[in-house]
Amino acid sequence: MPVRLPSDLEEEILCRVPYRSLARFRSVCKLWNSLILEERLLQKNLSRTDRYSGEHRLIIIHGEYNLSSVSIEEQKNVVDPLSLKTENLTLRRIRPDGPIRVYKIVHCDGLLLCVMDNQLLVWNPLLKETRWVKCGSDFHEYDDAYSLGYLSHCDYRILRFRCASNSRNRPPRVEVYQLATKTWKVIDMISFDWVLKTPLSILSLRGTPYWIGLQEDHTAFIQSFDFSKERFQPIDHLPFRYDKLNPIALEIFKGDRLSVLEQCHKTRKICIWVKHWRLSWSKLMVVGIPQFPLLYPPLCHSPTHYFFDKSNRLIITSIDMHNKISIKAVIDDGKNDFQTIEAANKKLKSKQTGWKVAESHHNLLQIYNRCYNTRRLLESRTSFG
Amino acid sequence: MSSNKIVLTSSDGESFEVEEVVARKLQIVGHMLEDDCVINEIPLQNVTGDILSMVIEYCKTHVDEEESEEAQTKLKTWDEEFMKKFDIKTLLQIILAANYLNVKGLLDLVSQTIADTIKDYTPEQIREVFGVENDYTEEEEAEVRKENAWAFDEADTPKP
Repeated sequence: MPVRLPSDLEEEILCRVPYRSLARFRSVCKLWNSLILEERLLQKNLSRTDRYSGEHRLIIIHGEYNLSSVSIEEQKNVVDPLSLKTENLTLRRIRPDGPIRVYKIVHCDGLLLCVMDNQLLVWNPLLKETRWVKCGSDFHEYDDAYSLGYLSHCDYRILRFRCASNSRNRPPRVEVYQLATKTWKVIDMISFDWVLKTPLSILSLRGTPYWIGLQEDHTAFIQSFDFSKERFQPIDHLPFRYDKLNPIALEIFKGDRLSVLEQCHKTRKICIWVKHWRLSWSKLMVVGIPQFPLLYPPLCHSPTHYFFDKSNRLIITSIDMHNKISIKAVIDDGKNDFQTIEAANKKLKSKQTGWKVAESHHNLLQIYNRCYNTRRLLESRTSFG
Repeated sequence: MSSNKIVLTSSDGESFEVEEVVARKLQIVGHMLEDDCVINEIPLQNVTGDILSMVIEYCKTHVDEEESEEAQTKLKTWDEEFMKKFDIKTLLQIILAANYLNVKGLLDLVSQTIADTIKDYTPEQIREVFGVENDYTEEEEAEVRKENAWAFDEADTPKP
């Protein structure tokens, strides 16, 4: 005889299972589905970090050529100063010998996509696997957006596109590259009634690219690209009114949900929301620290990045007027009391001086380093050709 | 604390003589002792002897919770080993008992253990274990599954 639990005990259990399992359990029965979709359960689930590794890397392009991977060392005490571990990832040409200039980097589950002159590189820094991809030279640092995704785990795709409104008045275009067949495909019949928000926050969640777009009436929304239909797919409006003076960013929350952040440029208050399925956004946290720096200055091309670590601290990056990157940990003591811890690392400052030159050479992003990345790449090796 | 002995009796008539400090870990007993001063025997209607003995074993181990890191680690290891002994059906009996007897620490522990056990279950396995009936029509179920297809994708499942 199966035991039937009262629903408060079912809730007690369900708030502790990973989000992925919750998604699967929605098809158990209607009662479980409605229990799982309840704001209360999702809020409880959000605050749990028991089985979340929280391990992230930041990739920084500094100077013109230098690529570094930065991670935060494990600490005994959550209030100790952050100590950073830096690894050099600079790409070098063999003949003629020299570093290769990388303009942009995006990632998908720990795989990197590096954008260079005339070519792209799909790269697993963990396994040191590389796949070079030839592409047209009609490249522009700000107009073109790139993303790496997949349809199935053996079918990686690269998306690159330019909106109708761009700095050089070029025609819009959308192209998809299939790694398995090594072919580019031009996607026709796409009309653009939106533009990219700068700085561009683009990411890949479960193989689908997502970013923030702006409509003609200046409302911001989450846009995505469906690799199976080869069409743009708007997802939802943002949970706040878009104000171009306020820094905003899109990130992945704990590896499996979309999250957005907004900082008020006047009060410096930071708000973070999380989205579950097609439901509305849940407000996750509000950080009210009056002296908190602006996350990025106006006209900046590098977005801010944030994630939650294993101890549920908010790790957040910011860039100042002089291109100095800082990484902070925000600890919520409860009762609206926050403590920030700064990472001290002089190396993070760009060697470049002069705002105009240097601005494009900072590109931070995070990689959610999950153990099964290794497995996925080994298996897809054959299909990479 | 006094070393008063209290007898706890299960629904199937099994009796356990425990120290008062151990019995007080069951908050249901704690409340009874506060309401009424002198009780020697407490009948517990909703829990069988085999489950009650496990709850008592937990309470005995957790009777003096020391603050030191070493003691905490030791307790945590004991908790993990203790939970390993039970299958999912017994775990569900324990969560019911922990809830009824109001043992907060055990309720947390067993909830987490159940969550860890069921996290890779299919919806069919969940229905069987939790005695839940599938009340979706075929179309409705297909739709919910489609929306959450990523969570069913084997290739995406992390394997150590």
